Formats: sequence, C-alpha cells, structure tokens
Amino acid sequence: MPKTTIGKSLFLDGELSGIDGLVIEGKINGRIEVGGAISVEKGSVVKADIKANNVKISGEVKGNITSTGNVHYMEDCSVTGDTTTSRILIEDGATIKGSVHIDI
Amino acid sequence: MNKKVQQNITTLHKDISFNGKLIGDERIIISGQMEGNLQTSQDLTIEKSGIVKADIKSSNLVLSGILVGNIDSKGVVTITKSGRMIGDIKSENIIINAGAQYKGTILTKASSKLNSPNKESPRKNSRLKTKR
Repeated sequence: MPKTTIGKSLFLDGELSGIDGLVIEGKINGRIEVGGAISVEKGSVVKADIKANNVKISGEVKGNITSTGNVHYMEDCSVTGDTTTSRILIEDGATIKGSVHIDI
Repeated sequence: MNKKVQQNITTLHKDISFNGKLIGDERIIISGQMEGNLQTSQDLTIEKSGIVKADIKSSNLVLSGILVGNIDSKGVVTITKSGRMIGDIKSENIIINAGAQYKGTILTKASSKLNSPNKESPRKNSRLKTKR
C-alpha cells in the first residue's frame, strides 16, 4: 500500500494518526502518531509532537520526537525539542536544540 | 490558473485518521477517516472507505463514502451510488446517483434566486401593518 503524503500546499491543524507510514511535505500543527515510518521532507514545517517507528527529518520540526526505531536527522534539518529513541543518526549540518535520550 | 499549480495529489489512505483543520491548494483524496474542517481550491474525492465528519469547501467533489457535514462547492458535486451523506449542499451543479443516500438541504444558484423575493415580501408586508 502506498504511503500517505501530505502535499506541499497543505496545512493541517490537529491530530493525525495511522498504522502505516507517512510522508510530510506541507505544514502541520498538532500531534502525529503513526505505527510506521515517518519522513519530514525538505521545506516542510512541523510544529507537533511526533510518535512513530522510524523517523527521518529533512525539514523543520518543533516538538518532541519519540521513536521506536531509528531517528535520522539529515543535513539542513532543524529540530527543536527532545528526542527519545533507541538508535539515532545525526548528519553533518543538522541543527538540533533539545535533549536526546537513547533507551535500549 | 490551474495549469500553473502543480498537479499534486494528497491521499489520506485507509489507515489514516485525522482530527482538525485541513487547508490546501491541491487535489485531495480521502480513503481514511477525518473529522473537522476541510478546505481546498482543487477537487476533492471521498473514496468508498472514507468517513468524513467535516464542513467542506472545494471545487469539484465526488463522494463515494460517508459524509456528515455541509458542502460549499464551486464545481460539480457528485454523490455516487455508494455515497451516503447528511448535510447541506451549496453548489451550482449537483448529481445524486441512484442508490445514494442523502438527507439535507440543497441550494443551487438558481434556487437562491427563487427564494430571495419571497423572503423580502413578508418583511415589507409586516412594515405596512405596523404603520397602520
């Protein structure tokens, strides 16, 4: 099944939840909870707490990130908030403000 | 104008549920569940598995799923045979196919013209009565 993509022109304000993965290109305020992987693409602005399995951030995120899998902060990403995960990868050039908890 | 806008399509798949406000300038397809407020300048499709409780503003709209809420459309509103809806529709062109379930008020551009003189006349009469 293809992933749900929140397009570039979209603005969501509220709670978004799902079982599968999610790709975000637009703007989101609120709360996100998915069972699959989440990918925040370049140019997107997310002001929300994120709960997901694998997390990949290339855009801007303000909020806490809780992951049950890997967290991957790409270069040029901007994250303000706490990260809780079991595995993390931070690329050269990523901007991060917040605490990181790595629970095994 | 529409040609300049990139033909992006956002699909909220079956397993996705959303609660809140959604505003956009692209084609939206909903197969999952949604509650709140939905606005797009492009077309909107609610698939058979889609359940929407929202007030909607859009261009053309095709409803094959369930909708509870009002529609304000600038294009054609189509309720297919599997569509079920409760709420008001404001649109110039409305198609309700055989088999569809619908409960609500329909307001087309022509019907709003018909209604307006009727609404004004009782007010004038009441004013005359008070003068007497």
